[in-house]
Amino acid sequence: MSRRVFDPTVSPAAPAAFSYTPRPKSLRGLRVGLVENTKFNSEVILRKIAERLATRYQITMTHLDHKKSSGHSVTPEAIALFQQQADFVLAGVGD
Amino acid sequence: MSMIKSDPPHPDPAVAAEWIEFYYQQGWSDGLPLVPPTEDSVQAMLAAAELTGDEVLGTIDERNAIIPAEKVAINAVMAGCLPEYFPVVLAAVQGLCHPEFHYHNPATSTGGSGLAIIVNGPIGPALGINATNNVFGPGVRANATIGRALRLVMMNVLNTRPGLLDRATLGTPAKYTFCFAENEVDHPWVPLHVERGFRPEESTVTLYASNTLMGVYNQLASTPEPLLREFADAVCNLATPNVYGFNETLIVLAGEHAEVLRRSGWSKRQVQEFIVQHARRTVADFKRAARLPGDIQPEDETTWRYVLRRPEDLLIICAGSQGGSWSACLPGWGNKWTRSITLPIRTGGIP
Repeated sequence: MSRRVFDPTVSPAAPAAFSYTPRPKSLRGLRVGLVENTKFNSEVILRKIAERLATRYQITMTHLDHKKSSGHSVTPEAIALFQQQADFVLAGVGD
Repeated sequence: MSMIKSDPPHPDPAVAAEWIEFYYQQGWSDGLPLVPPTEDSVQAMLAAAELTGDEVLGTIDERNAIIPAEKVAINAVMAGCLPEYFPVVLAAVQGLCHPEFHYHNPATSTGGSGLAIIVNGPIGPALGINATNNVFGPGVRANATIGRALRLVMMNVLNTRPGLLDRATLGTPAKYTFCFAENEVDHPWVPLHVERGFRPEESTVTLYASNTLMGVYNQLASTPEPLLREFADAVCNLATPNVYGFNETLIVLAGEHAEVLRRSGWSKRQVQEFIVQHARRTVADFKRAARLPGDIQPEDETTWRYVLRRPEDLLIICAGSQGGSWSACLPGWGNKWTRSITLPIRTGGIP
């Protein structure tokens, strides 16, 4: 006699369709945004990376976003700002 | 061989064992045997909360996850819950989805918190949820299975599995199950849910992300001050993650300690304020333990940092047996964006 198996799991919903931004041919002169996640040293590490990018590739850091906490998503407002002001974004943990 | 004559509900235990083993093989267990659900047991669970299976109880945006009622019912059956426990499970699950609880933080963190389900109101005694002797220990079905059901929902519905979206360094035994009721009978003050604006006759669940459980022992204190100084010392333990003054701490008063405070006539607010004022350390203390960066400056020896900011950041409840000089301090998981949540327990569907 067969009996129904009750699956207790839920598969995550499929994310909305998205496409990757084409990769730039060169990093030289681009604009970078930073997402700091409130972890200790997160901002320190990101700023240091931005400094090196500026030295090596003349990349300008245009905006630093402070997340509400490491577990929160980046806000839509911050994403909109990055779309206007940055060619790429760096995010780091830094524990 | 010892044998007990009985009238088992199934004529062949081997069949039940095969089902249990099958559920193990699917990867749906917390490591302990699961109760295989049936159509009847799942429907009975849903009926106890007047829900249909396709209703959505909530969402966790950071997990891109929804929580259907049927899945919660299945996990509650597997945990060993009786149908009458289901409204308590339901309130706890809704607590997970509350924006102020912010599930993704305490559920994922290396800090590895146990999520305490604190039950208040008449439903606690009605369901036999233990609030007294050995309150954090084993032996009571309601405590064991309600807490287990929540963790199974976290693992199976929200993918909070060790090594995947549960990144705890050590974890805690409280992740298997952590549910208890407040002892509202032997109580110097009003219980937690009344302090938070509910009526005494209402039943509630408070969901609290706890990092650990520290016993607080004092057999000599007969007045509030020395006893509360010891609690304050436990609260500002340098090893806890929340020592920078932005979190909650839970104190569970038991036995003789609750009696000392009852006899003193101190209000709960007085007790909270005393502990908040005394749960502090100097900046030099933090620096010596490398909990703050930098060299110790002369002024650091007299500059204080307080662990808690407000009296209401200190949750004080009563539970445990009347005898004994023990209480407990449970530091919060340690992030300013996660708060304990108190929600009503309802049996009439989703509010």
